[in-house]
Amino acid sequence: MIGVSRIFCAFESIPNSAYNLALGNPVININGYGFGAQNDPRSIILNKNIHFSGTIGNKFSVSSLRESSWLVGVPLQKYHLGFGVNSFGNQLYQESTVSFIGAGRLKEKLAWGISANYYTIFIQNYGNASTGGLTLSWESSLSDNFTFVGLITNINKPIIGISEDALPQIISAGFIYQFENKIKAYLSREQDLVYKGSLKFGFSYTPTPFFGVAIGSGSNPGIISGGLFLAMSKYKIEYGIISYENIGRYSHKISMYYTIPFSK
Amino acid sequence: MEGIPIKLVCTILFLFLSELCVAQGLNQFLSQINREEENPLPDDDIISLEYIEHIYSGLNLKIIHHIEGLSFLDESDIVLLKSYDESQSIPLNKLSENGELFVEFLNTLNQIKLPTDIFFKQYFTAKNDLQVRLTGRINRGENQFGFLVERDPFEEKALDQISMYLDIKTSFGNIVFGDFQLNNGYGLLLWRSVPVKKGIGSFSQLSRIGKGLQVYKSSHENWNIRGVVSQIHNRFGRITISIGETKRDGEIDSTGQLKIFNTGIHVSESELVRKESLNEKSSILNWEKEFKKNIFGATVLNAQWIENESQIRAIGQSLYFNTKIDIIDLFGETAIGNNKTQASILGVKSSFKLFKYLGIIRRIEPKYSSLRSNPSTEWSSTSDGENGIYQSILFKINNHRFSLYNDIFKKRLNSAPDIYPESGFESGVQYERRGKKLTIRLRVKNENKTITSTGFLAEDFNPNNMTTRYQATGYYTHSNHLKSKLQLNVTEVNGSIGYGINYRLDKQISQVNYVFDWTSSNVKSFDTRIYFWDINLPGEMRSKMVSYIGHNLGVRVVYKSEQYRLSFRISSTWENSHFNIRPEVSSGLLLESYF
Repeated sequence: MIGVSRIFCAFESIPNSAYNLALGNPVININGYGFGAQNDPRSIILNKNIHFSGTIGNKFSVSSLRESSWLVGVPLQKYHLGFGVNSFGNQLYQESTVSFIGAGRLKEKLAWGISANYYTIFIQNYGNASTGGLTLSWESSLSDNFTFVGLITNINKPIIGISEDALPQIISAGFIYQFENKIKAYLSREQDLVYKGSLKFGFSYTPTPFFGVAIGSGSNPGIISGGLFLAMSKYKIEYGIISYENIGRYSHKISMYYTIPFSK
Repeated sequence: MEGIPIKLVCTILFLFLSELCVAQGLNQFLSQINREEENPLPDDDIISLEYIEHIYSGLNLKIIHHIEGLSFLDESDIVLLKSYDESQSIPLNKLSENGELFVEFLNTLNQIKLPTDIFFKQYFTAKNDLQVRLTGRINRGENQFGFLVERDPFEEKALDQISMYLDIKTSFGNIVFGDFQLNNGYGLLLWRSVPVKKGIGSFSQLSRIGKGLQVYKSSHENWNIRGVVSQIHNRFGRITISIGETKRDGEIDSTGQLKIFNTGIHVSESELVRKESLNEKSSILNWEKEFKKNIFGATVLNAQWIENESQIRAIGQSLYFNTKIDIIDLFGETAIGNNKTQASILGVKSSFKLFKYLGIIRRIEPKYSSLRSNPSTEWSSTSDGENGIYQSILFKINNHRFSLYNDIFKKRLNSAPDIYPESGFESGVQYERRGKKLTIRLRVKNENKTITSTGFLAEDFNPNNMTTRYQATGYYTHSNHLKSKLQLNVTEVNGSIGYGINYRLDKQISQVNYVFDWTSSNVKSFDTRIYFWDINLPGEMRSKMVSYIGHNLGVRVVYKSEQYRLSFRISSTWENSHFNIRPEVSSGLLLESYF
């Protein structure tokens, strides 16, 4: 008996930082850290210094579904550049992405970013396949407190492998509210073109520069998330947890950051 | 989500009870323009109106250039606005009805503007799926770069349409690289994506000559010409030369016929197969010269459509004119299109003190088409031609305005002597009284068509084919900051009646504009459908076709600051007389930024 079905699974996992996961795992990179710049390249401009970030986690608490991502960001006068790698999977099946990121500003009020991503899938005993994708994001500053962010991933509709599976194309638009670096909240709508759209929102509170907490939620699929961060000098460590309503399992992530002093 | 509109409606109603406060500019203008709901303005006009709203700082040359392109204005309106002297006010009574509304719209605009050279518009709407449209314009001196990207609902590419242009002004005219369109003559060879529709309110447009080269800003995915074009002004007149190579949705079928699909939707398998499968190569030469009160023009074009091994070649030629003799304007165009088919129109317009008259005769041969032909016709299909006579009269006595029009048409079929082709007529009459507080508009429209038949007795008007539409609209200005509209629509076909009522409230509080919209209808069949203007974001001009018993509630909120305008709309439709079913929700978000 032979059954044939199409698989829509490659590169579905959003490579976010732990704190972004805690905020509801939006594809918009709210605080600019971590490998979230692959999907939201304009977010790299949020960092004023040269910075390194790394994230590790286990998807659905399954130890063999390990995620890890690493990124370096460099500000160059009006522009920012970034380079990162991301991997997900185990010895039998592995997805990896290499990204080159560029971002800049137009007249202070409009920021843009573009990432060129090289995706590779490796399946043991089957070999590997690769493809390239371009992702675009932008932000409009509406006031000192409000920012609008839009993004479209894989605008060139990349396909991978001999089965020509399409990589996810996500369109998202959202508003971010920020008050004195203490309160941050966002509301966004995400639409993977293959699935139903989802509404996501999150809230973070940072009472001191050394500590902050975040919560988030979303629909389609229903998720609830939370997390915290601790900061020491130029180091920062984040933890995030997310639960999926339909699956009844959790995913955890830990992210670490280091910013080179005086590199502005 | 379905509970949201009711709550929003309650919130808006609460806000209306508070202090009343300035009105509304473009949205107000679009809601009052004399236009049938089945016939919204072409998006070229709406884009120009938005641009005028954004940059208006008095009637300077730049604004006049954009006003000249507005198709709903009469030629006499443009002449008057061009000769405007700042020391005097514009005499409203000399303007056409739409011209008067347009000047009122200009008067509501703040003339103090921050200097901006980047305009970015982000448009997201959702009904059953997400639609995205991003447009941008960057001005550098007299030069402009623009782009548009779009994805329609259910399309599998995130950026299904990408359009760009670069418009460079030179000492002798301008050059455009990228996407452009040409509107020459009266639409027989080269026109915009939407033809001028016959009807009440079409008086000015039907007699307007095309304005030549325009950069392509429309979201219509199948009408641009992609290439390079130059428009030169010299003592010999205006000369336009273009070369284009454009991918179009279509095919050359097994009989060698060219088929082009203009929907711009790429969802089904067949739509994806024919997407951009035709390669269209074109070269166009246009000359137009103005001699005092006369305009003469000529166009020749060469077009080639290639699909794999098949190809079709066509030549198009056109001559057009507009000449003024005292109070009478004579105008017309005659053209040869693909396969040497012919089309011609001839019109006369006269302006007396109390009334205006317009008459146009059209003769379109079967299978007539050309590169971007889009004449005003009854049938949109190009397989059959038609003959027709359109006549319209406008009366104006103080605040009272009467509009009448009549159009008689008959299909022209290829030689088939035993067939009686379809024919018919449509006519309409409108009365409008414009007061300071209250404007009333009453409209009746009739349409009757026969069907093609081989029998001698078939060509009689079947009274059961008669469609009559009645419409009564009242606009009331409570204050500068609060306006309302009440409209009743009735359609009668075969003795059955469909009717509906719409109420709209528009309120401004400081920088925020709120619109509340309610529609209830009792329409039992598709034939007796009725049309209302939908609740629209700035820059939209959608109408809703109602063919059900039910209700629609909608809310729009627009916040405007100096550097951006943020708009949101949401509406729910219950296709049932009760509210105890799950409504269909439609929403939209628009962010316009100026830097």
